Amino acid sequence: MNQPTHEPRPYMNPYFAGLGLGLVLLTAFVTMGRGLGGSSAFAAAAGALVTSVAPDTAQTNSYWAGFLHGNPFKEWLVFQVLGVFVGGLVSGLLANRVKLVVERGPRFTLVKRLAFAFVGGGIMAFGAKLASGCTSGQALTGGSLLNLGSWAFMMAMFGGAYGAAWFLRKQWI
Amino acid sequence: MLELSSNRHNPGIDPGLHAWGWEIPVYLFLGGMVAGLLVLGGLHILKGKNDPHREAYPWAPMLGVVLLSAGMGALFLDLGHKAYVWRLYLTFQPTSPMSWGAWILVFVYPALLLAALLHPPERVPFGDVVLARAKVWSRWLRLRPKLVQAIGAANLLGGVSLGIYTGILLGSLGARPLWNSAILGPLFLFSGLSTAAASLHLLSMWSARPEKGVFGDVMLGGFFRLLDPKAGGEVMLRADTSFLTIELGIMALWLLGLATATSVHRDAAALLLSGDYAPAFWSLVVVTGILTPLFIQVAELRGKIRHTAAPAVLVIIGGFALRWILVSAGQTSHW
Repeated sequence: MNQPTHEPRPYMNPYFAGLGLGLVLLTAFVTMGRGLGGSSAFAAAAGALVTSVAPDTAQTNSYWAGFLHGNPFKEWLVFQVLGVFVGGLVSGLLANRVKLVVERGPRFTLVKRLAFAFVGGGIMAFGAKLASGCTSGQALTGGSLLNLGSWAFMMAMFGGAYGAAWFLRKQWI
Repeated sequence: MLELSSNRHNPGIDPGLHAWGWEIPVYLFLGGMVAGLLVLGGLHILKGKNDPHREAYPWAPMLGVVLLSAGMGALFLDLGHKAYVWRLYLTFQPTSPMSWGAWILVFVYPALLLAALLHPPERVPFGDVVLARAKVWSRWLRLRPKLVQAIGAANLLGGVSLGIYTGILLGSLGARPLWNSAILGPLFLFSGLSTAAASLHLLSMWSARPEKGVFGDVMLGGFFRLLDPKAGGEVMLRADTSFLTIELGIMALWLLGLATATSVHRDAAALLLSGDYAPAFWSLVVVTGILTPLFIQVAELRGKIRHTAAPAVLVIIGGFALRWILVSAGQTSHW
């Protein structure tokens, strides 16, 4: 009797995955009337944290004050990001790929990799606020609506990534 | 109407209707999990499976003591007059679920400790002297089968009582239509059983994790490896799958009951089904906490995918979200 091997399965064809992602975006527009995004969910969560821990500080800061009357549990993107987590987990489990690991190159230490990820995340958040959207909000949602600004964002994002990749390549290889 | 509005804004005259904060859902969650641990541990003793290395059972009572103490700590923080907590134990009011709860909580401590004494672990991270004494008492206990059976029965009874009473406590608050259902008792019991099975599953998986050098193993496995029971986890996986299925059925009956009752109860059910709490209820409780782990666990049991800790973690998240949402939404529902 053949026992299942539980070897990790190969990744999906990226072109099919791209088509699938487009259909997910279409479904989000049809069912929720909203596009896909990522960074706003974290902004909403951070806003809820700041306004609950230090409401007086939030009151005096125009950015945090915007979150004072909001509830992260009534924010579409918070649930969408939760769905991304659960859906990704199920997909990974079905393909036998789930394990707790920090992806990094063989010569890059764990501490340095985590430090780079933290700093990179900070720059990404700053950039997302500066551009009024992140990779998902601008490139995916805005791009699908043929927003000129979103396409300019996408080109700048790819250009920036290609330009910086050479300097940061040792993290991965 | 200045006087009226100023009177109504006096918290002493018109107290806040949203009276329960984080402490109550935390207590309900931890209490429910301990109830599940008591039932599973009690059944294990009654069935006579006395091998201390079997799965994570030897650690269930001790985990129960720790979680119950944390839950009672949260309950204590919620008390308005903390210095008078001892007065709860000067009386027993058979018609008050809160009085039942206070006495049940006291009853389950010795039941848990005796169950822990039945199967002391082979080694503990600290306290060899205490362990040596515990082993003497353990031998004395195990030579008396009737006493062992009584301890098993006490754990089972204590677990069922603890699991059900919290639902009855909420159900007896007539001012809150969302909670007006006797089925909340079994719902909390089975939710507690599923989170308890998930926690034991996690415990047995981590303690037996074979791979070395993986980040998660270094960060999490190290502590659990100290506990060192021989693990399998499949029994817990099967148990959890059944508990989740039953929980889903009971939840459907509860909401169906509310949705077919008076308009007040329909409004209360709508809070979860389509109202303010619907996104959190559907996504965190139903999809993340029940359907997704059920789907994953069935695939694991059929050998389609390998066992991971993921469904157990999702079940625990769902169990906590259920209490949190139920307590918050219940305080919003009104006549």
